[in-house]
Amino acid sequence: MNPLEEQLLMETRRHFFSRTARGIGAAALGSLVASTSSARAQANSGVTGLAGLPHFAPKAKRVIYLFQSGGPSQMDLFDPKPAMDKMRGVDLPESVRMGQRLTGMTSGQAKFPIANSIFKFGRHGESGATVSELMPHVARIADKLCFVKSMQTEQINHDPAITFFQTGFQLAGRPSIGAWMSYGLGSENRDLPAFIAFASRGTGRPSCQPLYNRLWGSGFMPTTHAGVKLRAAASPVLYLNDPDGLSRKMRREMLDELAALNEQSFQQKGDEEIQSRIAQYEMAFRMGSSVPDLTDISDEPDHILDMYGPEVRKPGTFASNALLARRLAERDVRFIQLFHMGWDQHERLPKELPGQCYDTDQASAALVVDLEQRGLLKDTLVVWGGEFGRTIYSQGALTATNYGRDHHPRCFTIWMAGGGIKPGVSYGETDDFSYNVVANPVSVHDLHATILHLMGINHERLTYRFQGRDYRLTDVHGKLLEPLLA
Amino acid sequence: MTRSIASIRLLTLRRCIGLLSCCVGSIAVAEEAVNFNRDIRPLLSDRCFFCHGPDPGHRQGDLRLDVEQAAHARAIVAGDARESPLIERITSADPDRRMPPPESGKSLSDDEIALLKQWIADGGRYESHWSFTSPARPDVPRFTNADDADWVNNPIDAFILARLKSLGMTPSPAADRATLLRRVTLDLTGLPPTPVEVEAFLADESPDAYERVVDRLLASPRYGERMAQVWLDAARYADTMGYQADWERYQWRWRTWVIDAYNNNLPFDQFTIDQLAGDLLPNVTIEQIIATGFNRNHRINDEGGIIPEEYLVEYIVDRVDTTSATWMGLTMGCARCHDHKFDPISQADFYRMYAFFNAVPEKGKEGRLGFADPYKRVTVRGKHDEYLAVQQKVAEATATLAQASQNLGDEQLVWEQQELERIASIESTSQVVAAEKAKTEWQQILQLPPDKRSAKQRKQLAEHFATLAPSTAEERKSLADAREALADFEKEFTTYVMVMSDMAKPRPTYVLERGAYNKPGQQVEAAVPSEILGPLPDGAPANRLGLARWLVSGDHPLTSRVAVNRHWNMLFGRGLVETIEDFGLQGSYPSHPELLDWLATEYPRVGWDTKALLKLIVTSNTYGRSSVVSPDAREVDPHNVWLARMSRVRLPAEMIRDQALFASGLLVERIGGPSVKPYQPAGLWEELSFQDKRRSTDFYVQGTGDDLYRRGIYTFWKRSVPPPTMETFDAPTRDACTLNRSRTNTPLQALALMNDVTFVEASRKLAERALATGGNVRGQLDFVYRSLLARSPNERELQLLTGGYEKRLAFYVDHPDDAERLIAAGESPVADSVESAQLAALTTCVMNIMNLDETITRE
Repeated sequence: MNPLEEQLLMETRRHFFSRTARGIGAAALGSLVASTSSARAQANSGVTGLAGLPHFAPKAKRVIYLFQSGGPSQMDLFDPKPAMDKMRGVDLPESVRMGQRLTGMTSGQAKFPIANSIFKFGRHGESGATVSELMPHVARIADKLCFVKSMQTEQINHDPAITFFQTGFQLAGRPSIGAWMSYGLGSENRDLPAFIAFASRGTGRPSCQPLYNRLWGSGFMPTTHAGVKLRAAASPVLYLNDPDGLSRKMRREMLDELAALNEQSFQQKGDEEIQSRIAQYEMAFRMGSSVPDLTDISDEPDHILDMYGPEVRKPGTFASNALLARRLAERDVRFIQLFHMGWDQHERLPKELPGQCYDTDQASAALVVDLEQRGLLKDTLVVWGGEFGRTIYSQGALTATNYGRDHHPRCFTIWMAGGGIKPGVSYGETDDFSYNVVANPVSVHDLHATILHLMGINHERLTYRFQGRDYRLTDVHGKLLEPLLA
Repeated sequence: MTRSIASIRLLTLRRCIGLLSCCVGSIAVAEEAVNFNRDIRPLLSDRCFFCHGPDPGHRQGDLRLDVEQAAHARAIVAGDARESPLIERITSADPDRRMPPPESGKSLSDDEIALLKQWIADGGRYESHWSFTSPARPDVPRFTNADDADWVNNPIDAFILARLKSLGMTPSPAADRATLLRRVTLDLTGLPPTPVEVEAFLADESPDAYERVVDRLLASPRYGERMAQVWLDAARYADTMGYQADWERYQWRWRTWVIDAYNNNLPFDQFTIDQLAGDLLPNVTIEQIIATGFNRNHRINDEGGIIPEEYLVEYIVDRVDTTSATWMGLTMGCARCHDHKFDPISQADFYRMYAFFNAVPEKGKEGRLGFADPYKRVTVRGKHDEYLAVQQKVAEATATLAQASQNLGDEQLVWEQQELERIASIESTSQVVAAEKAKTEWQQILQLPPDKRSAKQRKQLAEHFATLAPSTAEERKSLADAREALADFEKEFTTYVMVMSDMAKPRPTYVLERGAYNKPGQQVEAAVPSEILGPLPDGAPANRLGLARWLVSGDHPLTSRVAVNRHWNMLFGRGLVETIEDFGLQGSYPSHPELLDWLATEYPRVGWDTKALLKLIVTSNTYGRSSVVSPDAREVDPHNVWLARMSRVRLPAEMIRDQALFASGLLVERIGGPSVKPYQPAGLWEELSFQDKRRSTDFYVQGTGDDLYRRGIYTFWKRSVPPPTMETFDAPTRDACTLNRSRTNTPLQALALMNDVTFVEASRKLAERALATGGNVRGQLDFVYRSLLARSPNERELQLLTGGYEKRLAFYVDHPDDAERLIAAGESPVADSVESAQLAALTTCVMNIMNLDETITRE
């Protein structure tokens, strides 16, 4: 190690914490500390976590969060309410609603006619999990899953509800859960970002609901921790491709010249940010191979592709993204999040819901099985769920063949698998109307606390200071869901 | 000599390392007496106040440590650390007694405990929080040593030098003049100097050469655009509503106001009053009304199912948060749900501030029209008088017509007779029933005998006749023409802007329990937190105007400090108070308290003259230091707190873009106007939107021509999908007030600079310019360096670049198609009579120069 390098290293170690607190260049420093012998240009490039993390041995090394945006209907998918068949069309008793607030879309309805689900349910696996006919593939792997039927949220509209799920707060501005992971744990892959997000459209309701970059953003943290969106485009990461007329070989030559020029600048000026800049260009160059290597699925055998279903061959679909999620897990990307749109069945649920399930059922199940057969499920946490549930009463008219459901925050179902979660469990209970939780309510903060716990993080101890206050993903709430731990 | 100082300092640094993150000033503790505000309060605030602070709702053991009397009664024995329960608890080995409790995640280091012991041994006295006391003008340090006295160019230097000397440090040498020129040009205009400007400055040996440059820059209209960039972040300016569907809003006219205000050097007190309360001023001008758009820039929600009352509260809270953070560096939002955990701001204080903003005639659910109540139709800059004139013409023509229509009685009688006859002839030839139905109201009236007509009917008939009376045809035509002219004018020259106004009867304001919109508690009236920050000025009304006057009264402890600190941050990359957004108890203590207070008293003293303040700073010797950092200097002061040198600062996102366009000659300079849509990778908006063709923000329709080449502050800002390269270079999302952008260094930035067509095209255009200078490659590269870096390349740089050039020239000569494809990037045409291979090869070199760390850094 030359003296300058040594100097840099010393300075890095000494000021790591103060720099972290300042939020400037904090992320760039850690790999220097971690691997002193690596070439200087390769140091600094990845995102490194905080010292002292994980707080304890993690069960999961990574998370794949399959976010179902719009609010999947729990009583049509996982939470059957057969008693409702006899109450079809009956006005929802006030004793059930208990004056809880409704959205502006149905608060003006004169009646709240109960709409029983038209879909059939079966009990599946040894655990006897209840899954609707719309999810045959998920039903088949029910024993690998942990269903939480008593999720609750405080928000009744999409924007605040999804923002709450993603950041622990209903208004824009805080870091997303993946950003927290990146900040706390850093990246295990030198060639890919620590947090990658995907978005796909539902075929059930193709035009709904919009998403926003901030859902995978870093909020008040440095943008280093923001999720990088991977797109089904010629350039999966923005600006990944060299301009037309410039070959990789030429780019490599140019980067060598650039590095030499920057290196000279460093020698003259002594600013370590220049070293970091050189390293970032190297990582950018490596992404030029690591990303195509990731998205090129030509090495996947047919039997694997077939597992994920026919849509997997169409880039940009949920199934295609699910397969890429597995490939990212194999590459140790820390936090992988798929957003699937279209789960907002206000008016034509019987017509729309099958499309949404077609999009996601087979690929979600395949992902779990595929991870398992590669030995990755044990340290990969998979989460499937939306931002709220739906009402038992029909929004608009209830007819022989049609009903719709409004947003419902009081109870809904999500499922988890792998990564330290107990398989074959259904947790929590709702009342006969799937309206209120009657046993073991789970808040969004509880879910966050549990996800962080599985990743080896005590949610009360992972903080980020902004405007004088130490913020947490779980704010001042959240309790670990011990019964769900394997 | 320097090295030995470094090793002494190193010991100090190591001793205090634990304090660095919360309190920069503590670096000096080893040498100086314990200072409560600098050393002790930050510790108490950060580790203790959460449970033993101002919020009674969360107070533990009925103990508070934020008030001296209470602390001395229970926890501190003045002069005797050993007997003080506070020390016993923070040093206890028993985890059940130890404070702070382990589960809080907080702890005190040995050094910090030693500080607390020392403080108690010295008497354990409290002082009021430094930033809540009005700044007193400190004496400017004087130097007996002639060299020191010579070095001081203005009082800023005196304060900086005095501190350096007390630390045993010496200022770095001056930056070379070209670097200084690029620095000040970027800082004040957001663009680099041209090669001609560099040459002229280097050749100008007169003593006031630099000062004249500064004057020139401050007089440039580019100055206003550069300053606006910072202000737009604070004002959370954007071109969309910000929630779910994220509809477009037309608020850009307010942005033009900001640019104009800076360029006209509107004094900061007026700048403040106009934006917070322009609408309440007597003899208000249209510009002052537009200025109030500041507090309408918050997000507005239109989502289908929302409860309007809930979001109405959010908008008002946003105004309190933004106003208090921007002008006072206070995190008042922390007191929305409960009393502030650290600062002496109660929940009631918060809602008293809230009441100032709770009189706006607005709805909670709005935002699909491009604006929301209250709003105003206004002209583009400089057209307001014309608008008034066009409106006046309509008014005049209306009056003339009314006048001419006054005595039409006889003419009307004739007409009535004719009409009755005409109707009779129709009825005789067609079915009576059908005709009866077809009769208009006036025809029915007409057929009544005159004495059976009611007054209202007579009026109606007369009004109808007035629209067709032959004798007033000319007047009617004049009115129609005036109206058409007005419509044409409005279409061409007007837009809408959301503004502030107060209802005659404000909504009542309640303390909201837990901050929830549907849990009103005690009613409160608009008031400022006078206990800590002083009362409204005499005679000031208890409304937004009074609030604005209070802020800029000159006595306010925070306003001036916060403002000068923000400017300092812009120029040095770091504030004298590092937490520029938080001057409360959790904020950092100033590195140079006397300098801060001197500047904070100077600013109002010179009439809040912002250009004068900036000129003072950039003409200091401190500002002119070299940014080269030696290993020793980095060791002693890694974050450049003491300013022996200048900091190297990566350019803000907008500046990176603007510099590339400017140097290449592509930049289209035009002040103000609607936002534009430059290059953006296809699909970014539509893949996340409703994909509704009727909504202008669902599909990105890229601009053409000039719209591709405007400065970054004019780029259309869709909150839910911000301009990608801006976002990559740390521009905030504009969802909320942002006073301090982070500065990251990421691979995505490298990808954007290498491959975003903006920079590839700019590289090609700059290569074309270089080729047009004639000469050889070395001369061309020299031109490129001088265009972007204000200096010539050295021999080593030339070798590296020409080596690459030759290799790629050879390739492009053999592969003309590749050359053509590279230089085809962007929509600007390729210059005629340029050889493609040569241009392509030079373009690759310029691309590399655009990507240099130095290029995107202000040194």
